[in-house]
Amino acid sequence: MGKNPAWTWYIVWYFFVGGIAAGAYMLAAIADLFGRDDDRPIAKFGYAIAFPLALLSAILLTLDLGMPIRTLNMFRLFKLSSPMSVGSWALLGFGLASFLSLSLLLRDRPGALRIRRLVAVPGGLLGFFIASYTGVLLGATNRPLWAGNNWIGPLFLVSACSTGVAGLALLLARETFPRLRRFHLIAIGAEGLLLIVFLASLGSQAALFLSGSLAAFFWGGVVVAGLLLPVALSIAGRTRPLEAIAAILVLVGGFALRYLVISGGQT
Amino acid sequence: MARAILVDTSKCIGCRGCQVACKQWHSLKAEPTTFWGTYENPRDLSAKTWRKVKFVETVAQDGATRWRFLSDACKHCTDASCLAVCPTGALLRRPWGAVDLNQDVCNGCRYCVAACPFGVVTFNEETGRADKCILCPDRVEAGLDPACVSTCPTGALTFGERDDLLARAKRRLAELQRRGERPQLYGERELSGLHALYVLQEAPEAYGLPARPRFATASVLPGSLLSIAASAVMGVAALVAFRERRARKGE
Repeated sequence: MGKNPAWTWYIVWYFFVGGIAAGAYMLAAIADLFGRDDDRPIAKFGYAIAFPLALLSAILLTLDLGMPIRTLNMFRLFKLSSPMSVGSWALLGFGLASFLSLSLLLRDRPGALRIRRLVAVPGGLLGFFIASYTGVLLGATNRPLWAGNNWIGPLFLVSACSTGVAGLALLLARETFPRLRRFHLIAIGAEGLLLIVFLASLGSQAALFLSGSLAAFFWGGVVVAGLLLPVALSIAGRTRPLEAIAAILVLVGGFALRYLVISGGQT
Repeated sequence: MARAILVDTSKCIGCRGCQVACKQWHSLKAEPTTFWGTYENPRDLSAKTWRKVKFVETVAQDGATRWRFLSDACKHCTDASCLAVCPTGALLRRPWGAVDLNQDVCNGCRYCVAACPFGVVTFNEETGRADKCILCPDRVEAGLDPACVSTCPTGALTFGERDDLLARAKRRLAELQRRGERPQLYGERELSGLHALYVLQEAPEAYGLPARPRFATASVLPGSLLSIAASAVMGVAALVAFRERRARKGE
């Protein structure tokens, strides 16, 4: 086993914030590429979420380094074998794409949509990468819980989708959000499914979550707040306050999931 | 040609000369230690202790207690997890096999710490960078043995061409077997071959060595493929959610 890398709050927040940015951008890109004029708010708020959060991600990652002044050493080389190396380049590209998308949206001139669509394709693909590589990175270690696990990436990806929509839900006007409702429920459902697969892949180590020291976070944060309550609320009604509460709960669940997986490998 | 260090535990007397020589040569600071039920100190390899002697007490089937020693440090793996995951290039391979660590490049991301299958690489809180045994490239490339090997008074540590050491280790293994021992060779094939070979008198686990060390990045490809599959599913789901609505509006 490797020693404890002491990846703590900066990394938990980065995984959370980076996931929201990636999820929101993916939806914004799809709205730009395949949506209609009245989908524009989705693109607008998606890009408006993605760029500042991408920036915050870079700051969090820099602060976590033992030598923050050497953060640019991440770009000395491109190394396919290192998820952190590829991830650094991807975050750079994603930050650039989200900046361009937001700028093009703010300077709304004829022809801007065409360029925005051009940026949305690589930007959206980078979004998918940002949403999931963190899980692959944890798998490529020799720490308990993480070592060799192939399901953390997919789990983080669907969580990025659900928290990305939740971020949008808090900003979008009442009449626009219903367009995302179906996808939101799909994302939450997929998250529940992948959570079960992930727990099964852990074998006896899953006890740490189910009944061990992290059980309160798991049942209260991930399962009840992140999955069950949002679904219950969406069944209960479609009023604006209920939707807002559901969105906040999904964000709480997404944060709890990152905290659990990260601290689970370091206890 | 690849070089290596051979650790013959059957010749080790636990003097800890190697541990001290390493500290001396690399100017590593002392660590406060406490008694924890054994003469072994400090407890773990660390940023200040790149090589240490493990003291292992075992009780054989005949009831006799054996005291085993293992001079432990970085194994300089061929499939080196730390090297594979290092995003900056601070960890690098010497042409003769050692996994070197360039302190001028490391930025303290700690990925190598989590990736090492042996718990060798340590984060140095004082410098904000990783630390580990680098097999004395300054000495080796000037024609000397690593400091630990130069100091070893019993021949438990030897340095040289890996192939020669492998042959020597196998001869020693046969010798010990003739004495009625059940020695094991560690490092010949593990992680495609370590640049530290061990003649062990017990099973690897008795010394705290994993029987099957895992190359950390072996999961990158399957993990990535699953993530791509999940991305495709969620992407299609998002598309369908938009399309359906368009179709409905068009009706």
